[in-house]
Amino acid sequence: MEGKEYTFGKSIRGWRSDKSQTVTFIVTEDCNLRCKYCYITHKSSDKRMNFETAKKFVDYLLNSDDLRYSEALILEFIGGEPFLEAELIDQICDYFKITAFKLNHDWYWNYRISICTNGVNYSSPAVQNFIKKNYNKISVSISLDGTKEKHDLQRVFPDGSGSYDTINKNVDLWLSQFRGATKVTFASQDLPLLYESIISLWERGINEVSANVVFEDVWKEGDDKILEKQLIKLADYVIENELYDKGFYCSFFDESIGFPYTEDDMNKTYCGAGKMISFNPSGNIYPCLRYYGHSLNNHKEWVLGNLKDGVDMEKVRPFVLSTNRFQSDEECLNCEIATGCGFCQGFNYDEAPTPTNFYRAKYICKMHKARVRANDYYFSKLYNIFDIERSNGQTLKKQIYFLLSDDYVTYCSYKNETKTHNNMEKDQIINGLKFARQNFLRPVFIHSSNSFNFKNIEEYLNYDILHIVPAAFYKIAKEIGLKRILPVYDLKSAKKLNSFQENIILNINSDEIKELSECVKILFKNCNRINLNVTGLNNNFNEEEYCLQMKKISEFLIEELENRGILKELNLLTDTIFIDKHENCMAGENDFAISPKGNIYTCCAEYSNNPHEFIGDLERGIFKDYSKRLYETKNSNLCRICDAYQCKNCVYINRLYTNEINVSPSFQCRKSHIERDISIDILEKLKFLSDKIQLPALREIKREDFLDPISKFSDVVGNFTGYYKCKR
Amino acid sequence: MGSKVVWELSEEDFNNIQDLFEKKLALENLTKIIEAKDSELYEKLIRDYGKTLHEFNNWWSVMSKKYKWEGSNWWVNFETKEVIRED
Repeated sequence: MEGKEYTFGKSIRGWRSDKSQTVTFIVTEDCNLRCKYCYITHKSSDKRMNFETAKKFVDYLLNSDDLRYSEALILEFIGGEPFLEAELIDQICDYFKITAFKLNHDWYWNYRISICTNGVNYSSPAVQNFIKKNYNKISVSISLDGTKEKHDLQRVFPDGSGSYDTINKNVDLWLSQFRGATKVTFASQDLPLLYESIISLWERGINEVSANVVFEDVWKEGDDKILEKQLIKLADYVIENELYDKGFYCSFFDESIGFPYTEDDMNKTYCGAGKMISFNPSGNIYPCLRYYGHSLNNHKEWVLGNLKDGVDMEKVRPFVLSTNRFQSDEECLNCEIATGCGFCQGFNYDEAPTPTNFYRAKYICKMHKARVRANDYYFSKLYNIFDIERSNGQTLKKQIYFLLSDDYVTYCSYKNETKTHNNMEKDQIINGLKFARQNFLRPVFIHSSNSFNFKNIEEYLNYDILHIVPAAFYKIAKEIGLKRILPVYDLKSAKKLNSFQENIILNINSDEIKELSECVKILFKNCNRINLNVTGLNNNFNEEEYCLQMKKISEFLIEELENRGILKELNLLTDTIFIDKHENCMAGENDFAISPKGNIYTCCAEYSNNPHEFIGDLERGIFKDYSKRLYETKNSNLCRICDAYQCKNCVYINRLYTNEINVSPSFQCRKSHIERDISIDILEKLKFLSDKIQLPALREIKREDFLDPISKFSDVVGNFTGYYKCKR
Repeated sequence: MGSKVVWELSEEDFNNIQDLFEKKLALENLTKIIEAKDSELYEKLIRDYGKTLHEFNNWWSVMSKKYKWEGSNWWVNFETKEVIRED
């Protein structure tokens, strides 16, 4: 529903986050606390920056463009505990401000001072004087870990006593000066206190909580379950008290996490090391403070340069190139929930078997998975109860189709003609939903084609379910409160569509093709997108008639474009214009089906035709070796050289007609190339109108002199095709 | 007392007022540390502050007329880019 928004689940944005760079002054290695999870493992009471060194750093920053790449600057002061050196920080800031102003450097005004303190001496005159002098150009956060119990478990004085009471005394003063924002860290021991800790911070007036789990190798068996449970409890608290739009944040919940890496993600990294810059007390320069010796245990410091010689760009070069693509191993690169899985590059460097930035420690893998599940739970409830969509527009990569009855409605190229209706029991559905969440599969419920007796129970609100229902039951499905419904039409029901539905499925059998274009035109009066399934494909498929019908549809789509400026979408004609890889039937690769009895199949057709050939069940998961690699598009010798990306290449048809999962019969390939060829007409029109209509990027599609891509393969391998013959 | 959103700023308008605001704050903080006895720098500070303040006030005057904002007691929410009127 438009207009409704949420804050809980959004990222906390920093000041000018897209236009600023951070420079860190490590002003001391000393600290007045000994937090148990602190990454600074080599604290030292005698290493502090002197003002002369700091001045030289400021001069270097302002007098040379070596380190500048952003309009704005964040001056960060860190320790140890930075406010042990409040007077020094004050001196450095004054020197920076005056020098920049004298030089007319635009950082004189385009800067912020940022300090994260443990809060012990926050109310001291030195700290307060500094804050007053820099009012409105400084942000200070105090690390408060939540409840006294949680805080004192980790954040202790050198004598082992908790610091909560000391810090809590300063919180009111701090909140009167700054927006309530804090960083909270969780380790294994204090996970069970997460829920109450976050809530206690909110109740204290600290609404923005940046929370994370430690990256180190500390996680015990079952910690992920505890984290998930705590986060779900927190999500329920937010939902029940309708706090989702009241300005509360907790970074464990983030709309952008839990999706596969895009190509763009591959060329980025999670961390800012090498974009940030850190100065240490003795005049050395680092890509981030985590490359400085006070937090390294296994490898030597990574020094970029020093005050005398400046920065050695050869040492910066690896930080430009160490992106996700080469930092991550195959497991992380192919992870379907990769986004938002955080890491500290400096910690990775220190943990790598050899000193390198092209390495990723994976200790938090199971904790990230728990977090993604909890996010799925929260956003599902937000949508089901308040009609508020997760706004990043992505969906899970894999889906699992719940065949709620043997006579499930046809939803792909396989036409289901089963008449019996053994239904899936409620307990089985719930087991299936739990299985889906556990394995990051999007649940899709396929309803019966002949009756609708589905009971919508409260537990389903915890899941974001797509319901595929016959058009005849659309109204009743809405009435019982189903949210995400994709109605299925056929030639007969198409004539009855009289209210607008954005997106629909149309099933048409190959012997009904003559009526296709008329049917599509009727449906487009009341919808914007049709997902067309041509069922019953075989060797007798009438290519000429299909071509004629698709051309008529293409002409209609172009007319709509010219007259109304709207691109109506027919998946088989318009999708290929906008996508850059196959979106075939993903059965066995990304899509699976659950039978009413709870067995798992590569697809619905396997269940309906070979019920004994299940590959797993809800209890044990997938346990049979079903030659998974053959289901992957990249392992089809035809698909890998073909760019008819809209193709719905049904793997069941493949096996039925060629005996192989990854070899499509000629009639199926030829059908897809007819579609591809006609798409080019629409593409050309879109290009012509591109200055008038706002569209996503269009791809190039070249006309080919064949309909069967095996011709292309034959052209490459020559005589190796032997006596095989086919129509080109 | 109540508040009402009267306008959502374009990216360009938002950047202009945010920059002017940051400049104004920076110059105000500089007045706390630059002493009058450093006459050359002090004069530059006074001159720049006067210029920035004029540009800052002018922004409100021009924008409120251009977009016909109701009332007079406005402020910008730098997180939402909204212009808010306090009644």
